[in-house]
Amino acid sequence: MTMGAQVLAFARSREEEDSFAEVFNEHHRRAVRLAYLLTSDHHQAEDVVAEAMAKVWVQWQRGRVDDVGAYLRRAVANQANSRLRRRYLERREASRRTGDDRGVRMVDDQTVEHDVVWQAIQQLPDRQRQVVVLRYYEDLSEADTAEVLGVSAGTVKSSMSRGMARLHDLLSDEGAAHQGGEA
Amino acid sequence: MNDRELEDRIRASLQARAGDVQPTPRSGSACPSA
Repeated sequence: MTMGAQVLAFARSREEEDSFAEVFNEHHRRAVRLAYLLTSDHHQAEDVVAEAMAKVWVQWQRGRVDDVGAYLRRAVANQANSRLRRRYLERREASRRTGDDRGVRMVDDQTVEHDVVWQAIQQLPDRQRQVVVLRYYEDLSEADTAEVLGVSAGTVKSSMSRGMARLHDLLSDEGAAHQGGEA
Repeated sequence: MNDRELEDRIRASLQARAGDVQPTPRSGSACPSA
C-alpha cells in the first residue's frame, strides 16, 4: 500500500471511528440499562453491551447497519440470552450438587413499590422476563419482540400471558400479605 | 388490581430500576477494534 493509500485508509478509519463513537455515546446508556433489566446483573450488563457493541461495530464497518438502535437491541438481547442460559445451567448444576436451590431464587425484603415489582419480575422465568422487559421498557410490539428474541410471535404471546398472570399473582399476594401484616 | 394497573406498575418499576443503572464511563476509543 502506498503512503497516500495508507493515509486515505487511516483518514477513513478515523472518520468511521468518530462516527461510531457518536453512535456509541447515543446508544450506550440505554443499551446497558436494557442489558441490566434482562440479566439483573450490573457486571454482566456491561459485558453484554461490550460484546454487542463489538458485533455492531463489525457490521457497521461493512455498511450493514441501517438502524443502529434496533440492531444493538437485538445484539444485546442475544448476548443476554446466552448468558442467562449459561447461568441457568451453572445454577442447576450447583443445585444438583448441593441439593440447595437458594441460589436460583432471588428474595428481597424491600417494600418500596418499585422494588417489590422488580423482585416479582426477577422471579419470572428468563423468557417471560425478557418479553415483559422488551414490551414495557422498550415498548416493542409482539412482532418486534419476536424478532429481537428470534422466536415466534406465538411464543411471545404465550410467554407474555404467563408472565403477566404470574406477576398478577405475585403482586396480589404481596399486597394481601402486606395488608395482612398491617392488620 | 386490573391489567392496566399492573402494566403501569411494571413500567414504573422498570423505568426506576433502569434509571438506577449508571454505565461505567469508558475511556479511549469507543470502537472495539481500535
